[in-house]
Amino acid sequence: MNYNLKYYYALFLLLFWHLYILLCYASPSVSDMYYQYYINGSIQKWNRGVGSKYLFGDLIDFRKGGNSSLYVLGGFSGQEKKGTWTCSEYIYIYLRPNTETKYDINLYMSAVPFLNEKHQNQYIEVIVNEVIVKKINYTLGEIGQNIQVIRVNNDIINSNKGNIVVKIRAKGLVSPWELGLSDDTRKLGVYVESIMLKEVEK
Amino acid sequence: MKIMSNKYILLLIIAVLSRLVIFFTAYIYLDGVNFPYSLCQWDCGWYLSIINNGYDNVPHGYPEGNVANWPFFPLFPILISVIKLILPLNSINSALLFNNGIFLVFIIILYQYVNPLIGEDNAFKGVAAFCFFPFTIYLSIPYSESLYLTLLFLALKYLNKHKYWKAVFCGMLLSVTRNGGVFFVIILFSQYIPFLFKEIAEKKSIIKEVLNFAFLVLTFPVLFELYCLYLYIKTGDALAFIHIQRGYGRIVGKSPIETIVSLYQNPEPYTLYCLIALFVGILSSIWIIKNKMIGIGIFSIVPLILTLYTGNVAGMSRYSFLSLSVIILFIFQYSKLSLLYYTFGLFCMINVFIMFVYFWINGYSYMI
Repeated sequence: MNYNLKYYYALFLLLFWHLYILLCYASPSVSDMYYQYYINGSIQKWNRGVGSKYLFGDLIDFRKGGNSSLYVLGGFSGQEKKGTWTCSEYIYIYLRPNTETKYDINLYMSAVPFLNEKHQNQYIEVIVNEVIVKKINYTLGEIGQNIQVIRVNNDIINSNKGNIVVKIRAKGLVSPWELGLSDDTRKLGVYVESIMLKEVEK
Repeated sequence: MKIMSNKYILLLIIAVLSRLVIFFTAYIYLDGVNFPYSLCQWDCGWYLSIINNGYDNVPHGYPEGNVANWPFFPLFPILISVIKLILPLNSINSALLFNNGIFLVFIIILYQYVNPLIGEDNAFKGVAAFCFFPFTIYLSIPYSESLYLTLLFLALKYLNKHKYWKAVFCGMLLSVTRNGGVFFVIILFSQYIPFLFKEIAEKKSIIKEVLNFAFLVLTFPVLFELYCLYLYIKTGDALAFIHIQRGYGRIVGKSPIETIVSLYQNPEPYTLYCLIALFVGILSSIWIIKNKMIGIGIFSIVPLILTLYTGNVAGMSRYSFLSLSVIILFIFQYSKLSLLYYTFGLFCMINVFIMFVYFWINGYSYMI
């Protein structure tokens, strides 16, 4: 009887151990960038796990020959003459400012949404260090929506161990091919021309 | 018994001779320069990094800084570190000594495994020829193949003798030697389940037998999981050894058919060589399954298919030609050759063997 009980206890311990390991498998405790690159696969560049060096006030240029490839880790199509299309639900920009800032930041984004008669609205969220800082609902024909100025609190800017992760989440993407407009099968979000982060005194 | 002993001694002499071919060839081609260090190529560097500095905290290698030594399982580096502690040797010499020493053990175990299956004479002929099988070069250089195959055939030998706990113990060690080792559970299932039914039918004590089986199956992955837990503590990712594959250009999720088609669409000598190796591996596994060694066949084929799922076939020749099914097929079929063909084949193999050594020490990429 005792022997049998020991058997069951040991079996229970083994099951508990396996369960614990399963939990470890299911809940990795890694940086956002590690998760996006190695586990989720949503970014294409590892960039040594850090953002590229960035000075507040520098322009991130998405036009042909611009410097955006230094900072963009995924979600964008190739650079074109006047900008770059986002082509997945999430796009990722990783920046590493030289020092922590004591100021709030203005994020300037110059971008044109993919809108036409068959696709009249495009909703996006701008996320900085996992905090949604702006929700934008682009509407066909609306004026003044191409330049966005988004104020970001310095607590948010300094919250990610020296990295600034800018994500743009675009919902309900469609491709020109799906709309019957062209052979282009990329699901287009916004056509970004430039992004800049600039310190703003309080 | 005396004849058996003589065969063991003869096999050991042949095995030593085959290893001498590697070292002499390497020495002559290198003109003694950087010998034996030029035997450390490709993944050997990763093993050395583990032996000398332990596992990486973060990805850092390659120009992109996106690879780490996590896919290289710990048993081989641990054993080499122990040898380093005992003997006044550096890491490479310790690894060479260990692998070539254990190769001799492997040859004896291999002989003991195939002996009951094909008979004493054929087993001797087959295993003796296998010593010169060109891909056995990987059993002599600082890779984990030598340890892996030794443990694998030892486990199979125990399974055939129904010594399941010993087999599981070897399987546990296998699972921390190479990532494919964890699939040994397939062989365990395939051999234990018929035994289980037989035992139940004879003894009628269902609960005890089922519990015993549950224990075997639940104990088997414990060491593997310990490594996962170690990675979890060190990196935060228990499956880091899989996830890091992305840095090596292996992106999990491609369909095997898509991979094969794309290899044909963009043919290169290396990828076509890997494809041929893949087909040899698959066909030999089918042959093994047809010969009622179902578990062994599936065990051999699974890592090949999983490699295809990553879209990257680098290293396929090594995985395939040193798979269990190819080794068994080789020994079974080669041992049946007439003296003329046997000798001719041996001559050809020794030539390819010498070429492989040359390719290896010069870091040819298709030897990865």
